[in-house]
Amino acid sequence: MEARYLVAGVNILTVAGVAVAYALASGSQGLLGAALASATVGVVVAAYGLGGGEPATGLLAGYSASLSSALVKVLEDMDLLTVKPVVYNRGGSMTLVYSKNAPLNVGDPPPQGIGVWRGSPYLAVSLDPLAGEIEETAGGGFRAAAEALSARLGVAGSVHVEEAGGGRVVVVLERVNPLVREALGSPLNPVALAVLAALSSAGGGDARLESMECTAASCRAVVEVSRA
Amino acid sequence: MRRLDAFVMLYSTLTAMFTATLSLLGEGRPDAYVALAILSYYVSLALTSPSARPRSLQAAVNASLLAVFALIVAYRVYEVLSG
Repeated sequence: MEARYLVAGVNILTVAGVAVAYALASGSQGLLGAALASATVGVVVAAYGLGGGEPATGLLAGYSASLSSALVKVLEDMDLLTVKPVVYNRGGSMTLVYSKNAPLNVGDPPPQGIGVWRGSPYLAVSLDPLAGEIEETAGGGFRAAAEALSARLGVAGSVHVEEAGGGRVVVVLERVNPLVREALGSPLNPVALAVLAALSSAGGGDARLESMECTAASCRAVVEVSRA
Repeated sequence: MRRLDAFVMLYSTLTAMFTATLSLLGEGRPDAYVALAILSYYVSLALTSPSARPRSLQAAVNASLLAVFALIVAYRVYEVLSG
């Protein structure tokens, strides 16, 4: 669904409805025609807003699921399946790291790929493509992170971010996007990844997922964040 | 530019241009405005292909607009033949 087109379509329909009423009352045939043409545009835009979406979305969702399942196998083989992911933010360049020894505020993160870092095996993935999507949140605080998660990334319809003390942040996501709901149970959960990236970008520091509980359409994540 | 954005931009621009032109020409038949808005829709759809496969709602819009256009044309043909 493209909410902005749905809203635009309904607005156009409303204005067109008023114009039709006025045209009928005043007997202006030209205005009636223009209003009906506008109403047609409103109906079309609203319909495409309701059912729209890029044709490649399904392809990318399948591609992501395929790669994710392969990476989960790698995590399993490296005994990192239960490890909580950490996102390191170094000047806007973000790296997702799975390792049993990955403290926050550690200097340079390990290079992308798999290997041994600080005496423990790790898997690191660059999040720079995702960082580019949310770069306007950089240093914007948790409100900017919530805005990025809902409006920019479309992860959920409603996102609330609250500081819980002790460097912890609670993120509550409601009406999670149906496209990512199937992956909520996966260790490489795209919602968790987006939450970590948004909080890391907005706070300018590192972020570690402490816990995440999801129901059918909502999630509650507790994230430890470090200040830049 | 995303194809859906291109479609909405092209469709609204074409409809606005046709409506303004008809209005400036003093056209008083409402069905002429609607017919050109529907034509603009199909032209925009053909040029931008905003969706790879028509979803049910969009298929319903396609069918409805085609039906309205056919009714307008049929009414005008009937008017010519009867008058």
